Amino acid sequence: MPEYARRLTEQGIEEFNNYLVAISEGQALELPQLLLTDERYSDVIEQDIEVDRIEFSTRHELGAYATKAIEGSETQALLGDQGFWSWLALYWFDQLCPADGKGVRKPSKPYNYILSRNYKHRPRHAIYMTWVLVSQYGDTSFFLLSKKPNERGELIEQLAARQYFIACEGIVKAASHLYYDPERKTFKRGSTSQKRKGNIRRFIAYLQQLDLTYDLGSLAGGTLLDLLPDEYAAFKEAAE
Amino acid sequence: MQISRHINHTGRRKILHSEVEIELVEQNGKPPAFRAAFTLNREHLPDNADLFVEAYHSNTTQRFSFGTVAAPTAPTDTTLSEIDLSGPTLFRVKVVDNSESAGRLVASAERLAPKDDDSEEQRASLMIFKSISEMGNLTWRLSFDEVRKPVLCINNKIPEAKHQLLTNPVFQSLILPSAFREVLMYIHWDQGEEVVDGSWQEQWINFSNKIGSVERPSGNDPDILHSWIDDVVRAFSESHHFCDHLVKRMEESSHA
Repeated sequence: MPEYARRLTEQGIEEFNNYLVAISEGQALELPQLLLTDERYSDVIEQDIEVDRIEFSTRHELGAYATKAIEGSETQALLGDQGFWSWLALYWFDQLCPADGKGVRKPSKPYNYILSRNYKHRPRHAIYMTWVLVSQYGDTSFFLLSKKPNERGELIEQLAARQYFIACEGIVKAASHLYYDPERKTFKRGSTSQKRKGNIRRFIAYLQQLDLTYDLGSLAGGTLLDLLPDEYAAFKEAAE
Repeated sequence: MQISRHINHTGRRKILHSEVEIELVEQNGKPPAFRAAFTLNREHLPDNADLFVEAYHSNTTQRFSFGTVAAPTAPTDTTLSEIDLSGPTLFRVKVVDNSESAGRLVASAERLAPKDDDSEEQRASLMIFKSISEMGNLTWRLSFDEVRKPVLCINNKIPEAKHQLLTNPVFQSLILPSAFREVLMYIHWDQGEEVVDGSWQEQWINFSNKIGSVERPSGNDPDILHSWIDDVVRAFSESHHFCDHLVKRMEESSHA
């Protein structure tokens, strides 16, 4: 049944964090659903954003759903809203961190679920970053979000960690062209292999070098692909 | 004697902060916009090179085209609609030459603060005070950047927030010691024992060494470090008579 999204209060965030710490130590605790609705732990937000407990097959699907739900809202006010994004992560926590048969979950670091104040950790947030990518780049972001909601791949790990790169449309388009395999409907084999020429880490290193002499925000995807040295030929060809 | 010098391999010119003035403009019911005024030294800059201003905070960035070097033109709307405003917004300026090859960066300036943030008074201090929107029910928090000094953000819902922090003993005594402690903890957490020469982190450690009874201990023992930070914050509080001023203000209020 659809519900209006809310915002975890400071106390709600603290309780959510305590829960994450406890389950990361192996305790099989029930999900603290109370935090989602109890006024001590969550507040209404100023905008009507309706969400539902849909089962998502990929992170991209989750991002597309969140994009549609948030569409038409005043998104600027939500950008740094720690309570809102953390509430959403708790709302879909069963999919972000599913329990095994014994009820045990293996969560990642808390900043994957609680939006961090530290800008270095912020791109790790499972919902916020997924929404940023899908709302900005639509299907072009699929190569970064093709895994299940509880899985985070090496491609996004590498690319999203460089906050400026992820804001450059040309970079995202070029990376999608290089590393997305439309037949497999996920990234190409070898994209993340450190032994393979032109892998994602090499691409990031090359962008860092290019950033010294080019304005990466001005480069279109095609222009960037033309600038790449020969070691990317195999990935480029496979895309053509 | 070792002589060090910087070699500019890229040929990119550094735009001085004095060549650009950024000012935030409050807008009713909307996020703030900004104005940018340029007094660029145009020597070695192609007249027809494109000029861009990028606003940023945390992992949000918004890019604005400002015409060319010869004729800077502000876009019709400079509202910071895509920026996370829960902390201070900074700006970078880029001069991009597309005449020979697309996107060649010929000059840039990083970490430009809006005019109000960069006053003489703020530049001389160890910390910047700024009233900030979008803070919900949080009264204050610190915002850190690797290069720029810490910003103490105070919720702009509080009437005359920044003024209160600068003048009201209640605000000062309850916020500043805690903020001081948080900065020292952050420096240790972020950089460990090694701080970069000339950085804001070094300025804070130097200041702390000066006011504390002992210098910053070496090693990473949390108990020893915690005890040193306690000592420094106590000395800082003593030097500003925070508790005495707080009590005096409370007594004044109760007699009023």
